Amino acid sequence: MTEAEIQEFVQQARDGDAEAFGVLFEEFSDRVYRFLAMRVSEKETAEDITQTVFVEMIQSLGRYKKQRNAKFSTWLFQIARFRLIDHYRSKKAHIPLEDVPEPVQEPAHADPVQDRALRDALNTLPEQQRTVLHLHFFEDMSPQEIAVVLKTTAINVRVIQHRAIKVLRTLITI
Amino acid sequence: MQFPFLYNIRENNDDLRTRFQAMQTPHLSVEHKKRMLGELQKTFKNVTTKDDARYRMRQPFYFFRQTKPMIPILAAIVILLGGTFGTAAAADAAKPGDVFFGVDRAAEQTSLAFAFSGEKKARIRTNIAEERERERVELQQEGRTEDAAQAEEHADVALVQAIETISDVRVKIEEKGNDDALQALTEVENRLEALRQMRDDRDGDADDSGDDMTAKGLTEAEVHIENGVAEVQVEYNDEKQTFVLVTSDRDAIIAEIVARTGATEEAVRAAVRIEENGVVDEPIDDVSDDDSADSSEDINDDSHATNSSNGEQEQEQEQEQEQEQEQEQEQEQEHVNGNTNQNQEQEQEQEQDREEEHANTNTSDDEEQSDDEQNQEQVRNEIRVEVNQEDGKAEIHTRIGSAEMEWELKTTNQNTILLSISGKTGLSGAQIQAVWQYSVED
Repeated sequence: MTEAEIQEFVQQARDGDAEAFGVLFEEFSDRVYRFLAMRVSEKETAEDITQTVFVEMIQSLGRYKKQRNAKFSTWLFQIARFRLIDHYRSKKAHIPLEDVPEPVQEPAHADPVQDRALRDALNTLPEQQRTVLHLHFFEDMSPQEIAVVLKTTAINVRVIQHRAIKVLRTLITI
Repeated sequence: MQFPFLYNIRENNDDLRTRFQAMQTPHLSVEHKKRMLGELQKTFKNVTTKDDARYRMRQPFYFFRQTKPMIPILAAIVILLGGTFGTAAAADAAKPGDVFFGVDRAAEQTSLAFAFSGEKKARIRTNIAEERERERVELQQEGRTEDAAQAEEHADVALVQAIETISDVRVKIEEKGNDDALQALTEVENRLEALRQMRDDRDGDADDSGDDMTAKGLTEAEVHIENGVAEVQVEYNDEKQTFVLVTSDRDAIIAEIVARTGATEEAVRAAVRIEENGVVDEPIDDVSDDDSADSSEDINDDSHATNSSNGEQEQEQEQEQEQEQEQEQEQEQEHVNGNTNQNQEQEQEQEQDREEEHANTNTSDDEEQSDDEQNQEQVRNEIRVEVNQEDGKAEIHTRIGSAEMEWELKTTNQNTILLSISGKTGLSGAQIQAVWQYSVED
């Protein structure tokens, strides 16, 4: 779905169209859940936070304004990150990747050995670096868009990304 | 400017992207997704409907949540500003005797301290003087007599300070030759002059205030005019006043007496006794017995009055001369009849008598003139104003009764000097000009 189509559904949802909201949920629920589930220890917790993120999206749709260099997903992941930070603060917990629930659908080219090495390497990175890598590689966000999610500058995002990849490469080649 | 590592990120991470996308990642089950969507749809209908109260209330709630941490700060600012402006407003409206009057004066001193130009200072001083006068009037209207008396003192002090400030400022501006500033200062001076006039009127009103209590009216009004200067002595309701006017115009003199005493013009004209250069005009009542129309004309036109009185004297002299001639003719006839010796003796005696009378008349005239001079000298002694102008400064010395004052002004402008003297002594400009001794030294 293109960004223009997404913005059209956002407008309809703001006008009270429940079906438009359903389309948006279908488009983003898995992506938000994946972002959260790879950082929390329990599947139920990820589900709860996902639901909280979408409730907040509904409540905040009236205030949503499209920003330059930002998509609707940027705004949504910003909410997801804030709720995740709230969860960390309440639980004081850091979630190892080993505890991530098994996926419902297997990826097409899954390699269990390489997959494990990458997950272990990611597990050693600070939360900010992991978020940058996640949004870059899974969500294909630009540094400018990631900067909106992290509330920082694009230059800083590039620096964080550079350092994270450098460490990651070292870890996965050992 | 771009850094090399940024190119590396873009160009060399395809392998990592592939590995990330090939990684097993968690997904929501279809059942979970359906259940979650069902619950969210309920929330969506409840919240997103524009008619829903919660939808409309979101914005204020959001605003409150954002501003909540700032509430103490905002409250402090509101209290501080409210207190400051409230106190300032209350102080500005304060009058002598009010709690905030001290704050009012402190604020005025502060504004004076921050007035860096002389013209600005003069303007503020004048504003202060006007405010004091306004407060005095308001206090009088409110019936707060003690506070009004206090306000009167404040008003007088403010007026004098304003006059002195203006005189200093004028000197400096004149030295600089700044015409615009002089123009502005003249406007301030006019305001100050109006204020001084109000003060004089206030004194007049104070004199008038006893009318109803005593109500004895004008019992004495004597005017001595000499060389264009009129010394006036009046007694009204048992209160004596002596003042000097630089005019010989009787209408103006009578008008001034009316203004100072509060008596009616008719009463003044009826009681006034005017003496000009030794010639006395009696009150209208006395003259009106003979010819009221003529006498009123006499009073209205002093030159005509003087001429008519001189004419009467000439008629009397002519009558005396005729009588003497008749006596001489009789004496000549008697002499012819042989009574020459006795008549000569009588004639000699009569001549001696005339000479004695003439001598006595001259003596009494001299005594009257010397008395007048003494009175004038006495008045001058009672009110003495000396101004010595030297090197662009004016040294002023005043003595009113036993009260003496001495001060210096850095100006030679006579208006300013007059204002200053008037402000300090309470004398009117005319009074000062009538008695002052003004000397200029190079």
